[in-house]
Parts: sequence; C-alpha cells; structure tokens
Amino acid sequence: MQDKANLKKNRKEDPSHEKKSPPADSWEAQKEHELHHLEKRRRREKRFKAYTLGAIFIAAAFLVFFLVDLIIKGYPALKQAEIRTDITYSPETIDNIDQAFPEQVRDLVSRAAKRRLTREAKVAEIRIPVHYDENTAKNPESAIHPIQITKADMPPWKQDFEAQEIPKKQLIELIGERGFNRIQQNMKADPSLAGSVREEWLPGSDLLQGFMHGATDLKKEMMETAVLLDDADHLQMGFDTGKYGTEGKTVEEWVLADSHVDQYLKGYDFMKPSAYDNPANAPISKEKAARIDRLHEEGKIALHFNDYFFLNGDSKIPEVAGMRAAIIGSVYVVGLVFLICLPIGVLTSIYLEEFAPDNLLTQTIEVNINNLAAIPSILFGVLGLAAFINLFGMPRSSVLVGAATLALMTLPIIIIATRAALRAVPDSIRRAGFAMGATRWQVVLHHVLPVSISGIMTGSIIGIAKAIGETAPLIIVGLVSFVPDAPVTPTDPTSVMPAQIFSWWSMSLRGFQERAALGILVLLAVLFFLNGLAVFIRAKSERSW
Amino acid sequence: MSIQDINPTILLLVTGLVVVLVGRVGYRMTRNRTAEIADGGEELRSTPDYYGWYALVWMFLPLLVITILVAALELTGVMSVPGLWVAAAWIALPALILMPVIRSIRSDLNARILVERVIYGVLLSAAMVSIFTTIGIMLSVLFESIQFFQHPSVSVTEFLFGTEWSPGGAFLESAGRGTEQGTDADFGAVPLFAGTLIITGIAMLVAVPIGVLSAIYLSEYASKYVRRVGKPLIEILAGIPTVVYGFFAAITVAPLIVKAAGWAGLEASYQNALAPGLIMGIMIIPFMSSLCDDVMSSVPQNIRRASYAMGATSSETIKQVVLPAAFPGIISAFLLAISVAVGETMIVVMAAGLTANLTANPLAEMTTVTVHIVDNLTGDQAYDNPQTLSAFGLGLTLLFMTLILNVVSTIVIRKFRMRYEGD
Repeated sequence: MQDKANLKKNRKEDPSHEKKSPPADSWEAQKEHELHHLEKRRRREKRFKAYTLGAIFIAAAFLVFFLVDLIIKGYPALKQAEIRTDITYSPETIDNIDQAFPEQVRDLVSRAAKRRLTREAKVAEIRIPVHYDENTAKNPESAIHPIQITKADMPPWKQDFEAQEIPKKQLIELIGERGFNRIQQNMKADPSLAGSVREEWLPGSDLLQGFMHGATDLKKEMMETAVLLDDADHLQMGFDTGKYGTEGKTVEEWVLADSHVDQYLKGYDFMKPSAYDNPANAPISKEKAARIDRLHEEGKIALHFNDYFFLNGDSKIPEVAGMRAAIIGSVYVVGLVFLICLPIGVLTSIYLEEFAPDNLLTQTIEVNINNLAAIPSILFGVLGLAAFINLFGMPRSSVLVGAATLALMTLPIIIIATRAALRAVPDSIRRAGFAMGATRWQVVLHHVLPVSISGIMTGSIIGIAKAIGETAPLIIVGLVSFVPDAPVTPTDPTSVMPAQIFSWWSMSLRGFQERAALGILVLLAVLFFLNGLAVFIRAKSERSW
Repeated sequence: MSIQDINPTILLLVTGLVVVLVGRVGYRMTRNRTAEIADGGEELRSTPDYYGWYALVWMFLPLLVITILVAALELTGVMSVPGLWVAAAWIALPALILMPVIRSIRSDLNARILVERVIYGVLLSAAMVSIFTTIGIMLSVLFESIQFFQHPSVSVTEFLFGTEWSPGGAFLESAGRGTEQGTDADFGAVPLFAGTLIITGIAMLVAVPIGVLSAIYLSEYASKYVRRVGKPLIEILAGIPTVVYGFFAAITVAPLIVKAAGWAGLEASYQNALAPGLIMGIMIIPFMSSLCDDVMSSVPQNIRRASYAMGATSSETIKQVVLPAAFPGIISAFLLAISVAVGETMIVVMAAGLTANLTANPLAEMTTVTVHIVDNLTGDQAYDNPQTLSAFGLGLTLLFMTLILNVVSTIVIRKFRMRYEGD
C-alpha cells in the first residue's frame, strides 16, 4: 500500500507523466509537446557545452592577461637610462668624485657609476726608497733594496711588534712591471738622479692591485707582508697617472644614470612630480624632472639596452643589479640536482619496474614515492634545514645544500616519469631478450633502456624544469640572501633565479620591481624552452608498438 | 705548502681521474686474461665483460663501503680522517687487489652471479633513498616539534585551539624580559589554520568549477585536434613557477581587488585573502583538470553508448552517467587539490599578510601556516628560540594534513576501481 501511494505521488510530481493524461490527447498536441521538450533539451545541451568551453576560455584568457601583464611590467627593464657627459679625471676630483661631473648631471649619475669611476681612476701604489745608479735604466730591479719596518712606522695600536725586514724578492713581486717602468722613466727624464736615493710612490703589480681591492687569494707570506706594508703606510690608492697623465684629463662618456632618472624617463606615473598633491612627496623635484626632460631632448640622456642586467650580479643599487650570478647559480644547482637525481631515479625505477619482487618492501617504497611527490615542497626545505645544515653541517645558502634539498624534491618526479617510460616498453621485447638467454640485467641494459631513453629524458627535463622554478624550500635553506657573485665551488653561497626574483620583489625601491618582472620573463623563457625541448623529444621519438 | 693545504676540489678531481684510469686498466687486464683463457680452448662460464666488471667490483666495492663508513663516522664526529688518506687508499688499494683478482679468474668461475648480485644491491639501495628521505622528513619535523611543544611557554592544546598567535613575545621572554614588559608569547594556531582554510576555500571555488568543466570539454566534446591544442595550453599554467604567480598576485591582482572593492564601497587590505586565493585557484586548474580528464576518460565507453542509445543528449549523458561514474575520482582529485593548496607557499608568502587575523572577511589581511613556517625559519632569531621552533610545529600539522588528504584520496580511488573490476 505504502509503495503504491508513493508511486502515485511520484507520478503527480513528475510533469512528463502528468502531461500525457490530459484529454487533448491528440497526436498533434503530443508532437508539439515533444518538439518543445526536445527544443528545451537541445538548448540545455548547447548551454552546457558553452559552460565547458567557457571554462577553457577563462583559463586561456587568464594566461593571456597574465603574460601580457608580465611583459608590460618587465619589458621596460630591457632598457636602462645612460647619460652622456664630460668626466674630468684628475688628482683633485678623484677623492671627491662628484666634482668630476658637470653640475647639471651631478645628481643624475648613478652612485654605482661614480664608485666604478673612482676605482678605475685609482691605482694601488707602494712607497719605497729607490736607489738610482747607472744600471737603473737597464736593470731597474737593482734599484730596490730590502726595507726595514720598525716600531716607529706602525700605527699606535700595533706597537707589540718586532722590527722586520721585507726581502727584496717580495718587493719586486709587489712592484711589478709597471712600477719598474716608472723607475726607468724617471731615470730617463732626469739622468742626474744616478747615485741618489729617493722615496717614490710606484704603481704596484696586479698582485698588489688585487690585494688593495680586497682579494684574499694571495699566498700566506705575501699576504702577511702586504698587510704589514699597509699598516706601515707603505701602500695607498693613488691617482692613476699612467692612464690619465699627471694633470688628468677630461673625456666624454656614456655613464649609467641614477634609477630615478631611469624610472622617470620610462614614464611611470609614480615618478612624475605632477602626480602628487604635495610635490615634496614625489621622488624627484619639478626642477630635476625638467632638467631630465631637457637633457633627454638634447640627446644627452637616452635609454640604451640594459646589458648590466645580464652581465652583473645582484646589487643593492637597483640600476646595476643584474641576474648573471643568479643564472649561473641556477645552472650550477640544477646541474647538480640532475647529476644526483638521474642515476638514483633511473636505478630506482629499474628496480621497481624490472627487478622488485611483489613484497611488503616494494609496496612500501611505491606508496612512499607517491606520498613524497605529494608532500608540500616547503617541507623539503624544513628537512634541508634540520638535516643538511644543522646535522651534517653543510654551509647555509650554499650550492650544495640547495642542490641536495631540491634533489630530494625532484627525485619522486623523475622516478614516476621514468617508471612510466619503462612501463611503456612492451613485454615482447623483454621476452625476446630472455628467449635469447640474456639475464635480467642484460635485457634491461641492452634492450629496455635504449628504447625508453627518450621517455626518461622527457620526464627528467620536466622534473628539472620544476626544480628550476622552485623557491619555497630554497628560501628555508637560505638561498635568498644577498649574493652578488656567482658561485665557483659547491660550498660557495649562491642565489638562484626564482630566489633572486623573490628578493628583488621584497625590495622597497621601485627600480627593483621591473627587474623582478624582467627576471620572471627570463625564467619563463628558460622554462618554455625546456618544456618545448621535452615535447620535441617526445614527438620525435614517438612510436607505436 | 703543507699537505693540508691541498684544495679538496682538486684532490677530488685528481683522485677521480686516477681511479678511472686504474679502473680502465683493471678492466682491460681482466679482459686480456679472459681472452687468454678463451684462446686456450676453454669455455668461459660468463660473457667476458662480466669478468671485467667482476674485477672492478672486487677492486672498488669494499673501498666504497669503507669510505661511506668513514664519512658516517666523520659526520657524527667520532673521528676524522684526512681526505688525503682516503684519496691514497682509493688509488693504492685497487691496484693492490687487482693482481690476486686476475689470478683468480678461471674458466669455471661464474663472474655473472657476483656482478648481478651487486647490481641488484645497487638498484635496491637507490630505491631506499626515497624511504630515507621520508624518514628524514618525519624525524626532522617530529624532533624539532617535540622540542617546541616541550617549551614552557607552549602547550599542545593551546597550539591546536588557541586563537591568539603572537610569537614575538617569546624572544623577549628568553631574554629574561618577558614578564616585566608584560608581553607573553602566544602560540594559538587557530587563526593560521582559519586563514589557510579560507584561502584554500577561495582557491577551490575557482579551481573546481573551471577545472571540472574544462576537463569535461576536453574529454567529452573536444575534437582530437582541439584536444591536442587545449590540453597543453592548460598545462602551461602548471609549468609556471609559484614565485611568478606570487609576484602577479601581489603586484597586479591585489591592487585591482583593492580598487574594485573601493569602487563597491568596501575597504580591502593590500594583503587580502582574495588575491592569493584566486591566483592559487588558477594555479590548481591544470592539476584538477588533468586528473578529472583522466578519470572521465577511463569511464568505459559502453556505458556512454548505452546512454546515447536511450536517446540522451551529450550533456545528459555527461551529467547523469559519466559524472556519477567518475565521481569518486573527482572527489579524490578534489582532495589532492586541497592538499596542494594547503601546502602552497610562495603565493601566500608574497600576496597574503603576516598578521594572524581571525576573520571570515576575504578582503581582510590573512595569514597561513606556510607563511609562518617561512617567516619563522628565515628570521634572525636563534635556532632554539620557540618562535623558530614553532615553524616545525606548524610543519608537523601541515605534514599531517597532506598525508591524511592523500591517504583518503587513495582510499576513494581504490573503491572506485573496484566497482569496474567487479563488472
């Protein structure tokens, strides 16, 4: 009874049943009704299809918007403002570099450019008594005698010191060719010097230049001598008369402009004094803006290709900050990741696909790899910090710790891809090998691997592309710290491309923003290239069994 | 220059080169020996290359084991062995072992057995690396978390149910100034969980409809050609690094949202939860889409045909037949997508805030678990400071959440598979 009542109720609620019973049960009406219904169903069908297509379009539209926005933001950074100006190199201007520039551009030139000019116009000099005699012109080395450093030469805070003699051999090494040339020139200019002893500031050898610029790769004894000479005031950075003459000279050059000039020329609204209610809040004054405009019209300020971005390492000064160190760091780190992951990944996959018995251990490994692939990448960073840095004592921020952390993250990706490639090899190939009496390892090495190698490469490239773009775990192990130089050994601190983008993004100066965007474009270009390569390899090696 | 001054990189390279040379010589000499045997008319039990590898195994395997042991001892600080000794051992010992090994090679020696056993061992140990990684992650997170929870100013219940997160006081406290300043470290993680949940929720609101619908289009409607173009197009979204998404969310989307909200008369923070949520959703679309695509493609064709035979349109077939059949798979994809969203770091680090704010307003500033892991581990506090250690507590919860989501999704998928195998 209950069921029947339910049935009746259902029938009443169901419109399609209800409409069949009315008296106007003519065939025409029914046809009309059915056609109407069909129309509705067709419309519903179209609507649904439109929704699904719309979803694809939303995704595609986002992609377009996203890329266009990044290109608009990053493209301006391909150009960098430079100023054509007179630069006066002279002994007076060198310690007050602002004086080297004409007044109208003094505040427009980049600090970094000024610093570079100062460094280039100076040369490390060594103060030494020169014993001139007849032989000096021919054999200037004979004019150098060992010198004594006594307590009196040393600064007051270094008085616990024994008098010391600096041997001739070391002095000759520090003076170098340029210094001896100077002695010869002096002798030629004034032959009457013969027989006298004169204290001279001589330009030093490359070794000395390096020391004065902070190089630390000198030999131990040489380092001690150089430090000693420095303390005793025997070393200085002097004006490079060899390059610019004793009076100095004025040259016209393109020099890098300050970031404000650059940003103003690129027409950003936030740089324009007119965009602010109170002009004092603007980054540059109205007068400065007018001056930049005028110089720009005269062709004295222009936007040139930004090669600094690709040739320099990171810097705190936005206009000279570049990506070179980060690109090299990325290549280094990811190269190591590849070297670690490819063998381990391929061996693991071979084990799981070709050798492993179906037991608990194998199942554990399989579940484990799948779980590992799903663990958030940041936890690999936590592991890297706790295990590699705190337990194994790897240096923080180094190439080594970055590569080790990323390798653990990339390994499951490569394993999963490699297993798929091995599984795609048909069993008939293996059976043929076994039938010829090959062992399991011979079958794998001689038959399975050669035909699956392109699949393995494709998977590895995709894994590597993922590693290149990964940031979170590297932040945890310290790869975002400020690293201006490219790494040389695996224990050197390094930055990588995404970490560099992140650290530029977190800078407050606006000049860094467009550099971050350009960095993103570089990173995306690398990734598109790698993924394109993977697609190419896959397409090229596609075969049906 | 003393012996200690040798650059380790150079030492490594030179030793490596010499080792390769010694190995080649060993291999060649063994092959010469087998050629002699074969010329003598005797038949070898393995192919000649196996004898070469046999010699190499004897030359280098014991040494490798010893080196690993020494490295382990060095790392744990029990003893330290100069690198020069190791290098000398690597050059001298194989050369010493080589002669007796070559003499031991006879026609009835089955070199293959040892070599293949070693290969098996190598393969197995490579496979164990992933196990060690997992154990490493578990232990490192667990140990530091225990340290965190044992800290006097922290309790598990407060961590799980407390609504106040201000670890800043911990620093003052450990400096002995906590009480006099009246600042107290609070480690109630509920605001972080809530922030994570809301941002994840927003992301799912974007990713699930777009992901599922685009998967339906690609697997049910699209022609072969459209599929060939459309699928990679969506996969591009998956290849974009998260730091790029983060930059986009922070620099472009967040200001747009603030502007739009101001236009609608609402007030939005520049670090609102909406921007990272939306962008995270976009990031997850390809993940969701390709998983759903796989699931729907694996629905047997004959049940679709049955539906068409009954006169159903495509959309009716999809809605009433394909989707219900694929439903468990879609649910499991959904769970995996949640675990991706919960663990996502860069987008929220760059676009979401740092202030722990317990609110449901997506326009307000919000923070997540991952943001605080990064923030606390990159700060300049001491490593054993509770603020730093709190990152491990958060890491542990994150690990738990993702593992549970994964396990549940695996279970769902397994049940789904059973249904077809039963047919």
